[in-house]
Amino acid sequence: MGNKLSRRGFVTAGVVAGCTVALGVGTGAGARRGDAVQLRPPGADGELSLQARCNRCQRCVQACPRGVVQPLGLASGLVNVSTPTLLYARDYCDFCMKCVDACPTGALRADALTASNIGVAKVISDACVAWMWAGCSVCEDACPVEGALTMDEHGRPAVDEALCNGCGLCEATCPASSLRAYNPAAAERGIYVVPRASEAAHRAGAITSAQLEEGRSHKATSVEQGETSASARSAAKETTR
Amino acid sequence: MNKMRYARVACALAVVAALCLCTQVDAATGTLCVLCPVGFLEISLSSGEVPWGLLPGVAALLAVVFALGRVFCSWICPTSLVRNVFGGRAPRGLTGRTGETAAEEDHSGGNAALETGADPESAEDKGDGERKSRREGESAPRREGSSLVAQGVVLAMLLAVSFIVHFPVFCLICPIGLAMGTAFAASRTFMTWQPEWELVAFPALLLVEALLLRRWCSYVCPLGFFFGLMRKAQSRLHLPTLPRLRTPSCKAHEGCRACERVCPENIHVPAASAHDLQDCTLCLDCVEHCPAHALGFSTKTPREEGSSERADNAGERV
Repeated sequence: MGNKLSRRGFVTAGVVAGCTVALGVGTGAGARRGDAVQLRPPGADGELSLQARCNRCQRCVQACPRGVVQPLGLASGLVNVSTPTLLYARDYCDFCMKCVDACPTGALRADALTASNIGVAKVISDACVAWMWAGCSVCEDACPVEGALTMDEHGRPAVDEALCNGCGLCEATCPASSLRAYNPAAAERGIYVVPRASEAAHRAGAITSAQLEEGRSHKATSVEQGETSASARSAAKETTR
Repeated sequence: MNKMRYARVACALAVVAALCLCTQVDAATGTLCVLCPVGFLEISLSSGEVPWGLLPGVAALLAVVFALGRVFCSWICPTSLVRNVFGGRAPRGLTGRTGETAAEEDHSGGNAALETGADPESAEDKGDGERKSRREGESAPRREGSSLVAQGVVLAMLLAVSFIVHFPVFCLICPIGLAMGTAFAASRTFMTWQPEWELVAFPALLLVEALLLRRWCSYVCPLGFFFGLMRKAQSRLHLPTLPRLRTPSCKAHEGCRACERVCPENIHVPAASAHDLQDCTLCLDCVEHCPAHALGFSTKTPREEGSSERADNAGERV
């Protein structure tokens, strides 16, 4: 110690320690701002709790037998990098809880409110085939929850937000992109599962593709973190009555 | 040539491949992050709750380091993988690690035996004759080992930051986490066909850390802090350390320094103290490159070993 080399080594250590602090300040500020919300696997107890506990070990990703649990990318923010999300592109969640069992840190826990309720499905009015014409009822046929997805008097799908558990089978089976002409402005599918705390979930009825894009990962302003699912569900119940 | 290095590259790649394969067969093994003592502490502090589920993995990793040494560092850690792949063709210490050729190091001629403190960044020290001559005059050979103090400072800083911002900060820049993140981001991309920026950003940061910050392992790596503690405990208990030297066949007294030149930790094995050997990562480069085949692995101390045992241990020598 004390010679030139060691000092240079200490500078390296200092630089990295400094970077850690800067990164901490940056991510800390980002997390505190708290306006982002992601669709999480069942058992995530709020964004802040998951971010504090998840060590990005990918066990939930490995455990998922349907491959819907996938790591998030940089686009969803530095604090969320490699934390789990649900991608209903090909399959849905059957609440097998293997991701919850696999989680070694308690980031996903069986006693969390979201363990039986991942999010809520929103019909996209400008992408849904039944909204544009009529006759498509693929999502209604697929929905495993009695009464969660029904067809209204116009033959368009409507989601009962109190019953929907966000399993994503509607999103996974939606054939809209293969039935419509390609339109870059419209969402690929006619129905998407969004987090209950999100802005998109707080809009009543069907939403547009634009509202989905800007609202699916933004937290609704009035909702507090932690009690998101409970308050969203009670709010949803009130609106449906 | 470099058989050991290819073996290490293959081993580290096999681990990453196996972890990705586990996703296909739905085996929740977790990435290397489930073994991490740093992550364990970070999450304890950031969430205010001890993640007991991580404890078995952490204990297993530390037990392996205690029993075998820092095998993780050279055989599994992605930092070593990057260095082994992009560090040039020649063994580290000849050109790969420092950019300095063996011939240049030979300028110190007969005094080489004394200059055991051959520095990892001698490229920057070219022409620093004054210091070299001072070194040559030193009677006690010195090398720059890994610094528990520096690693401890980094660890303390990152734990403090994690505690304050309620978020495991180091996981974002940890080379192991970056490599695992890249692998899983790639496997996600195969599913969604929507590549994201981390496919570029993660490997770029990993390359910077492994190739530009040469002292990452010895001065920064907070995992190395725990490994260092384990090794310290091991040498306190006077447990045998590896590798072992068969003294009679060693040519160090004739000025041979092959083991030190190839050693990524610059350990001159014939003159290494127990403290020096704490930094050994069991990369086996010294065993492969020893011209006299004087290095092998055994649990006996050097004094107990004789040349008669050479035949017995021939199989262990690679």
